[in-house]
Amino acid sequence: MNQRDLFIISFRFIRVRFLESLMVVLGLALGVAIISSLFSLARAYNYEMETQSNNPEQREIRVESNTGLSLLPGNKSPALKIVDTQRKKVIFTVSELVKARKACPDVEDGYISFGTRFSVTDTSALSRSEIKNFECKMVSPEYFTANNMEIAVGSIFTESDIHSANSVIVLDKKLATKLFPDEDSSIIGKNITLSSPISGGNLTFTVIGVLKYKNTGVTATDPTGNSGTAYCPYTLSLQYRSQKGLDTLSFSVPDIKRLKKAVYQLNNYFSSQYGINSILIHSSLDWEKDQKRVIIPIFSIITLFVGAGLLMASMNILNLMLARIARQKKNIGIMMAIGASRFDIFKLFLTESLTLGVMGGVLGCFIAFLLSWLLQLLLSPAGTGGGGPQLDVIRGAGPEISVTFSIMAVALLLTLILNAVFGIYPAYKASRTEPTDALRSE
Amino acid sequence: MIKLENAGKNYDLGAVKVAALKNINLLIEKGEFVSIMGPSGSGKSSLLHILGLLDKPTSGTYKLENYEVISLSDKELSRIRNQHFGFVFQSFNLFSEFNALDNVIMPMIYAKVSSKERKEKAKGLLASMGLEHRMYHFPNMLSGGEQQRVAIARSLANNPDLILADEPTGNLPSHMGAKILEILDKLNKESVTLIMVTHNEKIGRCGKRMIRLKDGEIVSDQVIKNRTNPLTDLQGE
Repeated sequence: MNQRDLFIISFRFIRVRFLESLMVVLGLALGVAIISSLFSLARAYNYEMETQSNNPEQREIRVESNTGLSLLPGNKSPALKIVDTQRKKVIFTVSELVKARKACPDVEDGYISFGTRFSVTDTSALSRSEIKNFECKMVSPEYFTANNMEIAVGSIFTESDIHSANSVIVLDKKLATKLFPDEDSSIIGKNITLSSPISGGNLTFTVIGVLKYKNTGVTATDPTGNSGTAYCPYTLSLQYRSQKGLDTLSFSVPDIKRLKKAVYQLNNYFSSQYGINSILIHSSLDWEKDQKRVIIPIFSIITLFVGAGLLMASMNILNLMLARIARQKKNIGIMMAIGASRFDIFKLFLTESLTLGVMGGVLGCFIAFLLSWLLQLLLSPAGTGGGGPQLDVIRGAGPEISVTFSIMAVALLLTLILNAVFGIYPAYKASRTEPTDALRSE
Repeated sequence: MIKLENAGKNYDLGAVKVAALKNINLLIEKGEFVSIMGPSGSGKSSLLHILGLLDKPTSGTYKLENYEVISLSDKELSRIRNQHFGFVFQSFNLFSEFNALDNVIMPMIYAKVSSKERKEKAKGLLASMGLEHRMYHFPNMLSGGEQQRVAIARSLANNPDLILADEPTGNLPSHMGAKILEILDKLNKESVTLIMVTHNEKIGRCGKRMIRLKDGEIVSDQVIKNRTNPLTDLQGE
């Protein structure tokens, strides 16, 4: 019997037992649909994680003086932070940046960066601006190169600005457009009076540059929202502080893949300089770890349920196929009488099972498209908020939730394998039927 | 040529062992029309199943054209059943999922006959049974006699040398049974060997030789002198 005839005969048996076949097909279709949707969701999450890792901010490593103790061991964000007054605070010097870079081959750049928030006080000068406050980063000039930031108009700070702690400010394109909606190159040289916690009062800044617009991807945890960022010489902040040193140094890696190694190298270097536990190293690895801590259990539970569901569907197929064979016993006897070998019977029932599998798979792919569309709607950025940054990550990737051909192929293959595995036993059982018994059955 | 020597068939039913056939010695030559008769439980069907290679004897030997059947593989046995044997059953045993034409086509599918050729042949066979107008009817749309004629057409699909008929008229009214027997007799005249199981004496006498079974043993094996003529003797029975 050739494959075509085998398929035609099995298809006829499927057609005759339509309702029974439909139940098997639906069971499989749901399995394929759920697996495909889960894969799509996981793919969207991975894509988002990758986007995050391409963001220059994700390639940043911050070395801080360790002054705090956690209430609970292992808890990274205690509700109450206790300052260990006995611990000596580490004060870094600028030369440490160069030394650390030399000692750590996977580190590319070293710079100084710490953030603060500025409030707009000079409302007369910025009459059309709706911005009330924005984030300002107190940085060294290396910050711009490390984060691949290019100037559009004007210039960034010079060494002399840093040395003299000049009140100059560089705006990113987004912030510049919001603060000065009607102006472009004429922004340079303009003065803005801002209020900041660093000075404890008003301070007038001169705009010296505007950065080129750069889409750094979705930053789920970015508290600045959409207002944009400004950049000032870090020395400006230091002159208002009682403590005249640096308690944070920042480094960057050229490639996110080198982040782990770089963190390890920096930890070794600073521990050897200041002692173990004197410094804290923060990077996007902490963020990633936090993300994974929440997401992985969620995915594990979903996978577990889907796996269990698919297993139940497969067991259902096994039972349905066994029942089919019991009902087809007489036909098996007739087939054997007219010349079917045991192997022919085995092939016929396995083909029937696989045909049901393919039909279920194809239907499942259609349902998967529908499910992914629904997921996209539910998790789109335009959707309602809530659920924390972990859900924001998925939500941000809304448009990316799509059932690709590779996902469908994997889901289909998985279902076909399961179908074949659970179809083999009934097919084998059918092939072992004794023709004399089968012919006597009703 | 079919040769059974001391063939026996035992069924193991757990605590009880049932001997369905005991020391069967039988020689059937090509072109014979053998009727196997006996009361219920005498082993007629068991013998027919063994002769038709649907079952194997538990003792003794079965030679088919000098080949020892017991040593043949399932693939070889199925090929013989397909290309040399034809079966006609009391309850017709047609595939209810297929129409008359497809039922006749089925054995040719296993014989790997081309699609076009098998369709032509099946149509010819159904026409020869007077069923040209019933080709696309499903079994439940056919009368008992028509179903049995479809079954005979199916048994002839691969030009068999031997037809094994198990109570072929058992489920039919007498006038239809007579027609079936007439067809079988005609096939025998065309040199097809026929082995027919029946418990009806008159129908049994349609054959040329009668073998009587009792409690799994052959009690008589004789040539029939006054054969029943299905056309004249069975009408109105």
